[in-house]
Amino acid sequence: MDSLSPSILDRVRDCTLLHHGGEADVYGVVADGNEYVLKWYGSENRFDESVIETLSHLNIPGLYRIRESGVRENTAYLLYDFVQGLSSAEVPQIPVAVALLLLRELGRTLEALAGKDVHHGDLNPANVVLCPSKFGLHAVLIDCGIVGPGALAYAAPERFQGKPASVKSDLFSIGLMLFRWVAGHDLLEADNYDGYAAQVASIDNIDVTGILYEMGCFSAQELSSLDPLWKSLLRFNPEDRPEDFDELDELLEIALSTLGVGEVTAQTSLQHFSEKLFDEKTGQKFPASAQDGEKTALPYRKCDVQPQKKIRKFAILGVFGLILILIALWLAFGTKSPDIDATGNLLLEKSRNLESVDSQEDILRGAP
Amino acid sequence: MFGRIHYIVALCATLLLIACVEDDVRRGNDALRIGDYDRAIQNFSKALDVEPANRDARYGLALSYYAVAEEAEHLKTPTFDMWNRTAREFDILSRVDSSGRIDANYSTCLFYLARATMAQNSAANVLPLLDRSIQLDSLNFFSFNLKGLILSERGDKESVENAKKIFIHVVTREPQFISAYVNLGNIYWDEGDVESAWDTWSAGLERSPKNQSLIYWTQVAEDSLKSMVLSGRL
Repeated sequence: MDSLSPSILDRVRDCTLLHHGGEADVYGVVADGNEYVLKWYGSENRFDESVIETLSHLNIPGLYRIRESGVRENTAYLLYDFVQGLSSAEVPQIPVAVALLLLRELGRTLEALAGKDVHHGDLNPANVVLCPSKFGLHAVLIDCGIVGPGALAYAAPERFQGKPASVKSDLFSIGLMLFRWVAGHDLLEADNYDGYAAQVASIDNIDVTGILYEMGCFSAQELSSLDPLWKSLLRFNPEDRPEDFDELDELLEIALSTLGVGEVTAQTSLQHFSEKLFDEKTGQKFPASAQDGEKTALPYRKCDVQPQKKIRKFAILGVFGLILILIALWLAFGTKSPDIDATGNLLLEKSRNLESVDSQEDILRGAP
Repeated sequence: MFGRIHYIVALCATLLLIACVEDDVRRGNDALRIGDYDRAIQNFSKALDVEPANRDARYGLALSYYAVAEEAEHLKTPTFDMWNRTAREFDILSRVDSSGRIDANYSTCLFYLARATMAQNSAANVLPLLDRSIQLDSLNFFSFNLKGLILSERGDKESVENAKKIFIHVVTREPQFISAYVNLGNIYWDEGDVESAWDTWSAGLERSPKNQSLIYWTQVAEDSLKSMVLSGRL
């Protein structure tokens, strides 16, 4: 980012620390009356610039809007619109039908992203914000463009092997995220990187339906509707997973059908859940506004853009004024031809030419 | 800050406006010099619409009217209205410019106006116009000459004497003003002073040997003088 360009960062009025994380600190900031989220990366961390560059020009429903990104004081940062809602990571448990509906919506967003050759790479409940809407609830995806495997509890096996994010890796993460949503806890739990790597390597051997059954809070219908999804999404080999998000959508449709949830019932469930979620303020709510909470100092030094703006304004006005003055002077003096007095003298000389006296004589003599 | 900007913008706009007026005057002047009088009038008028007291535009417009009227004079068409319009414009101009630089042209305009007035109404008293013309430019011998003609035509002794003085003034100050010799000789001839008439006409003829009037009247006077000598009257 050009330090002289008008950055939103230099117009920030209020700043609130929302989350202090290893990868980045997340701030809610207010500038020009708009609320933004500022991700201020740690010194060693950064994002995939090409992904962010692509995203900054996109406006996909269900995807956050990136407003600005760059490096400030040797620190990478990302600024995007504040998404008003509740992180799905903060929701203890989501009903199966609601989870399936939200996942269908999320799938459509991811499909549109994949169409731009962008893959999320860090799909986990913390990166899906549930927002109340007139239809009940909708999911908004945030934090694309991560460098590295992302949240280990949701990373696909090939991500542990250092491979880049892909449709297949995102599909695997969606499977684990679905489990977290319906079960209320992660399927894979470990203390360290190796622990997660070992668990994910044996994903094919995990009886997901059995785990859910043992929890004792799912009906047979729910278990049978979800089972094909686990068997399809949570596969070690990417080739064994669905081909794309379109196929995922078909699987989700079948699951909803198996569940016996029609269009109207699904919508009603979504609305009930939304009302319950936001009325009861379940869990630790993501700040309703970036303006809420205790104000903190900005993690960077603001540049006073006013003097630069003034200098620019004066420079532009000066140049403009100078051009006008030059044009005026040129018009006034640069194109000067013989003045009007010279023309007057010319006419006078012609009128008083005594050569013409003879020809006027008759007139003069005969006039009175 | 914005106050200063307004000042700068106002200054620039004023300069631009002045430049536009000057440009119209320049175009009018160019048109006038090449004889495109309609366009000259149009451009000077345009400049005056923006700046009514612009001296050059006002003078240019007066000169344009002047040129149009003078052209009509050469075509021998009625010119009273045209000279009237021109004189009015010079009158306005004289309130804008008191430098004296316009006086010679204004004086000539008044001479033409006086003559056009007489052409329209031979009984009209144009002497005030001619006096004003002479007052503006004492070297305007056309006005002197016309005033002398008017006075000599009145016939009374005083007027005729004044006319003589005027013509003598003209021929002594501007010996090349041949018409004055003719007119002065005519007065002497009408008074019966053939000798003075012959002196005047022959002096004129020396300066303009091809002038047909002078050739004719000098010869007539010469013949009369011979006849008078032969008859013993001289």
